[in-house]
Amino acid sequence: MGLITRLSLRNLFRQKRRNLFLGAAIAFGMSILIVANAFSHGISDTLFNKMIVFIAGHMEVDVIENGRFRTPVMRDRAAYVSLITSNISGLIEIKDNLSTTCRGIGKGKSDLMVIVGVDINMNKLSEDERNYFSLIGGSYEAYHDRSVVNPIFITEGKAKSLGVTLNDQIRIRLQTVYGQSQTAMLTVVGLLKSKNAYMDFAVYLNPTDMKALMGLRPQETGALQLVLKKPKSAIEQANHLHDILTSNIAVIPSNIAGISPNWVMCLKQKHHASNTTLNAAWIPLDMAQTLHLTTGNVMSLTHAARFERSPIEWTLNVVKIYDNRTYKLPTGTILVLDQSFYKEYYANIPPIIPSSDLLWATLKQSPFKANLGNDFDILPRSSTTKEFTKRMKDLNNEKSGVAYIDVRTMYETASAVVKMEGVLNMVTMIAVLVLFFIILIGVINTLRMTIRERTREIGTTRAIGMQRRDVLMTFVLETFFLSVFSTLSGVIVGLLIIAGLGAITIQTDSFFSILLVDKHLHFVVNPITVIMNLILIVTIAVITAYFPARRAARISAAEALRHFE
Amino acid sequence: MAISTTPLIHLSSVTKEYPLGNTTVHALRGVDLTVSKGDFMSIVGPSGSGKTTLLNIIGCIDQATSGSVVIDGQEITTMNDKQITDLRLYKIGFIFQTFNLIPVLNVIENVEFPLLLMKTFSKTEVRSRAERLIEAVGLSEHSQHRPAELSGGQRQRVAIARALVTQPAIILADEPTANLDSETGNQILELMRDLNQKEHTTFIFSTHDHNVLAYAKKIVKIKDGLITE
Repeated sequence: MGLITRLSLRNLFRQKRRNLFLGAAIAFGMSILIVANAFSHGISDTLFNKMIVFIAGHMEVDVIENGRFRTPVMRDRAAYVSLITSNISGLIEIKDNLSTTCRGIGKGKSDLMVIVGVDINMNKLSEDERNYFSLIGGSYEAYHDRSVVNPIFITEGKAKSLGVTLNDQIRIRLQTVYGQSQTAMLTVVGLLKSKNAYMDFAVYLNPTDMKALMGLRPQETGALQLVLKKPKSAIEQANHLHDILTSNIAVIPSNIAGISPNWVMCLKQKHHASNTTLNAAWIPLDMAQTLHLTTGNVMSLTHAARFERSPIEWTLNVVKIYDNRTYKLPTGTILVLDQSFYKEYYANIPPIIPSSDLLWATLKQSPFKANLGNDFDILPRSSTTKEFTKRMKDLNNEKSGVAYIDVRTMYETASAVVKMEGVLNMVTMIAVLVLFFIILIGVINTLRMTIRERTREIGTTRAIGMQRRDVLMTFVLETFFLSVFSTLSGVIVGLLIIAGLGAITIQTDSFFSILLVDKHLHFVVNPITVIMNLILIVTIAVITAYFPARRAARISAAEALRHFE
Repeated sequence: MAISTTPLIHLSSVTKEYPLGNTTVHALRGVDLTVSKGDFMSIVGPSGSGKTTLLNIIGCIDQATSGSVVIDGQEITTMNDKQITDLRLYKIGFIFQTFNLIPVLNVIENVEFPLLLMKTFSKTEVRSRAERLIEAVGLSEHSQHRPAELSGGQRQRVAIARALVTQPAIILADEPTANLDSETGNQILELMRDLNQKEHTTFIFSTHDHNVLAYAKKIVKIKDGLITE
C-alpha cells in the first residue's frame, strides 16, 4: 500500500466520530436513493412490462372503420404483421388486441368488465405470464374446450363482484366490430388469483371465441400491440412505422361480362353533390353504350376477394354516366360513392394489384385522381394524450367510410401511468439533490475542521519534503475512502430496507393497488443504476473535497508550523 | 576523515518581514551567515529575536523578503515550490521543538516517511535504513509504537532518526530540548553531537538555554533580527 493511501486510511479512522456521522449521513442518503430508485424501477417495471404491455403494448397499430375507435378492426392481419416485423427493431412480441368493454351480469350482481382475448397456453407463455395466469381453481384444458360455451378465466376479485364461481355463467351484451349489438353467455372455467387491481378489470377468453363474439373472421384481428425490448424507443419506432406507411388509391378489380379490363374505384362524396342512393355508381360513357345502360339502371358485377375463394357479386345503381376524355381514368373504371364503396371494399378486401400494373401509371396521369378515395388514410401522430383523444373523437364526424390507420404508443394512450413514473423519478431526483446537499455540506465542514486540526501536521510533512500534490491527494483520498465505504454501506442498508418492505403484505383495494405485485411492493434493483449512483456520489464527494484539500496543500510550510489550535 | 570547510550555507543580506495587522514586523534585518559542512552550530538569542525565522529560511520552509540564500551551492530564491520541496527532502533534516511526529504512523513508519517520499529505494532498503537509525537512537524495542505511546525524549529521538534517515547535508533543530527535562535534553544533545562527530552531519540548532550552548562548536548570537557575534 502506498504511503499516501496508508496515511489517508489511517487519518480516516483517526476522527472516528466525525467521520462516522458524515459516513452515516451519506450511507443513509445512499440507502434512500437505492430504495427510491428500486421503487421507481419497480413501478416502471409494473407499468411498462406488466400493466401497459398487458393493456396497450408499448406501441399499437389500429385500423379504425367508421369512427369506431373503441373497436378497431384489421382486415388483413398477416399483411400488417409482415410490415411491422420487417420495419420495427427490438420487437419482442406482436399481440392481438382482442378486447371489448361490456357489462356482465352474474348471479344477482352485475359489473363492467373488459373481455380480453388471449391464448393461455402454458407451454407457450413466458414465466411472468405463467405466474400471472396461475389458477386457484378450474383447469387450463377447459379454457380451450370447444364444447364449453365461451370458456373464461376470471379473477377471484371479479368473480366476487359478479357473485359467480366455477362453472357459473355470465350474461354479456357487447357490440361487434360492425357496430351491431349482441348478447352472449360466458362460462367460468378458471379462477385466477387477483394480483393487482387492474387485473380485476378483465376476464380472459380464448382468441377464437373472442373473435367470434366480436364478429371478426380468421384473417382479421382487432389491433396489433407491439412489445419492445426498449420501451422508451416506442415513439421513435412509431414515427418510423408511421413514415413508411403509404396509402394507394383504392381499387377493386372486377368482372362484367364482355368488358375487360374493369375496375371499381371510390369517388369521394365530399367533392360532389351528396347522393344517398345505395351503391350509387358512375360509369364511363363507352361502358354505358356497350352495356346499354343509362342513369337509374341497375348493373351487376363480380369481383375477387383476398380471403374468399368464390367471386363476390355486387349490384350497383347507375346514377351518372361520365366522359372519360376529361377524367382520363383507366379504361373501364366504375366510380362508386365512398360510403358504399368502402363498405364493400373492407368487407371483402380485394386482391393486391402489383405496383407494376399499368393501372397505377394511368391513375398517376389522371386529372381526376384527387377525387378518388384511398385504400386507407393515415392519422397524423399524436404528441399528447389530449391530441390523441381529440383525434379519436373527430373520427366520429368522418362520414366517408374510409378506414384510418393510427400508430400510437403508450406515451399517448397511457400518459397517466407514464406521468406517474415521471413523478417517481422526480421524487428520486429530489432524494439525490438532498443527498448531494448532505455530501456537500458534510464534506466541506468535515474537511475544514480536519484541515484546521492538522495544519501543523501539513506543515511538518511539507517541511520534511512532501509535495503539495501529495498533501492534496491525502485529503482527497480520505474523502474518497469515506464516500466509498459509506455508499457501499448505504447500498447494503438500502437492499435490507427493500427486502424488509418487499416482505410486507399490503391489503388495499385503492388505486395504488395497481402498483402492487402479489400484494407486495415491487422493487427492481438495477445494478447499473446502483453503480452509477455510487460513482456519482463518490465523484461529488471527491470534487467537493478537492477545493479545501487544494487550499490545505497551498498553505506555506512555515505558516502551517506556526499554527496553534 | 577531514571535515570540508567549503561553505554549505551562505546567507547574504537576508531580511524577512511579516505583515502584522497594519504594521510590519522586521524579523530579520540583513543577516549574513556562512555555515561549513560538519559544523555543530547553535543560534542563540532571546524569544522573538529571529532564531526560528533564520532556521526556517535556512531550512527553505520560509522565503527571505530580500537577500541571497545559497544552500549547497544552489540559490534558493530563484527556485519554484517543487524544487525547494525536493531540496528539503534530499538535503535537509528537521528536528522540531514539539517533535512533530505523524500521529497515525508508528515509530518505524515515521522514520521511513521521508525515504518513502523519495521513491528511490526498495521497500527492503527503506526498512533496513529505518531500523538502523532506530537502533542508533536506541528505540528498537519501540519501533511498532505510535508517538502517543512514547515519552517526550523518545519522540525526539524518533524525530532525530527521521531527520537523519535520508542522510541529509544539514540538520536543523529548533529548540530541540525545550520540551524535555534537562537529563533527557542532555541525552538528545549528546546523541546529536555524537552523530555530528561520527557522520559529520552539519547541525544547526536554535536555543535560548545557556546549558545547551556547552555542546555547540560554534555559536551565533542573534538579537532583534541581527547577528550580533
